[in-house]
Amino acid sequence: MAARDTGTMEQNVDIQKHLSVGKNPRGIPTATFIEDVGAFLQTLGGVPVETAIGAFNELYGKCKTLENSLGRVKLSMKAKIPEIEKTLELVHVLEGKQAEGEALTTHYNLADTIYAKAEVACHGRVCLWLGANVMLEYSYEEAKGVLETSLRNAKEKLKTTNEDLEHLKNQTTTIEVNMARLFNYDVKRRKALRQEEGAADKTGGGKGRGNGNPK
Amino acid sequence: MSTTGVMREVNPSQDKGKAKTPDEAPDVEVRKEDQEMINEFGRLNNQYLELDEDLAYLKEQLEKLDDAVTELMVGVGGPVRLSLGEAFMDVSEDYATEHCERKQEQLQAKVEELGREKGKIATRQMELKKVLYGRFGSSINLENS
Repeated sequence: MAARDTGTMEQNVDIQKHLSVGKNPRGIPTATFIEDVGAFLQTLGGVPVETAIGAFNELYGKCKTLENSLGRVKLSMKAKIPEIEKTLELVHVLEGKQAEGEALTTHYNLADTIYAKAEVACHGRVCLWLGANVMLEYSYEEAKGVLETSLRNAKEKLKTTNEDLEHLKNQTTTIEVNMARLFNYDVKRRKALRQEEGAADKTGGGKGRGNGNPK
Repeated sequence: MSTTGVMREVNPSQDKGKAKTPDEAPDVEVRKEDQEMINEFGRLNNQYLELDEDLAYLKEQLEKLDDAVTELMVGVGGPVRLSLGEAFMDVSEDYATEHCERKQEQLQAKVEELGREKGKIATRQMELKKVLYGRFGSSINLENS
């Protein structure tokens, strides 16, 4: 029993090797494109088509999961970028007011449904909320620097996430087409087999077809 | 997989992909270039849908700015509270109008850019459709519904 199990395991590992060729810069596998279905099945060691389709299906599932998680990252980046831009704009406004030597009157969110009035003397310092209950005070210049770096990083992350998602989309499409072709190949093969059997039966003479002629 | 042997793409909301009925006549083999074109088509489709969403959001923002500018025009010249970040700043009407108009220009430029990109994608998709339908006929489905 143990020997048989390792046999199947080796078979599985072998199949996995043929399902993808290479990876993208962030380690997402590139699915194999099947040039010729028959030849491909041979390289897998003559396994039944269901095994091949099953293996691809597994890879497909993994790709879909990865796609979902990357989709969430993308959404969070897309929300983060406008926020950073708004904060940056605010710092510019403060700078402008400081240059004019004017104070700023603002109504800010004191609590959920309450706004309070505040006079802001723009004296060159601003506090940035960095998350995790941490707030740091910066000069306007430093604050702009921090925000601009943040913005650049977020845009970069969005770019690489988009690239990954495109790559994944290619792989899922390729795998779907592969599975469809494997399936169709199998259907054709079975049909051809049935036709062959049908022809053999006809030429083999009329042996009792077993239509249940009760005696 | 349905029992009639027709393989359709798993995601029903984005029904673009291969639907091959094995019983139908010509079985055109899928070449690497074909796969690349199908992949490109899928990618472009995703981009198109995303652009659609972004455009809808931008148009909404533009409408709000339009309303704001209209309101400012009927104003009596008193102080106006401008929403910046998450707080409201007391500013003059002129400042607020200028701010809104600047924003409108930026958004309008963005809307036009996205519109152009959508146009490019649509053109490329038409080209791909011609080739792929020409090659695979009814074995492939490239529509959105």
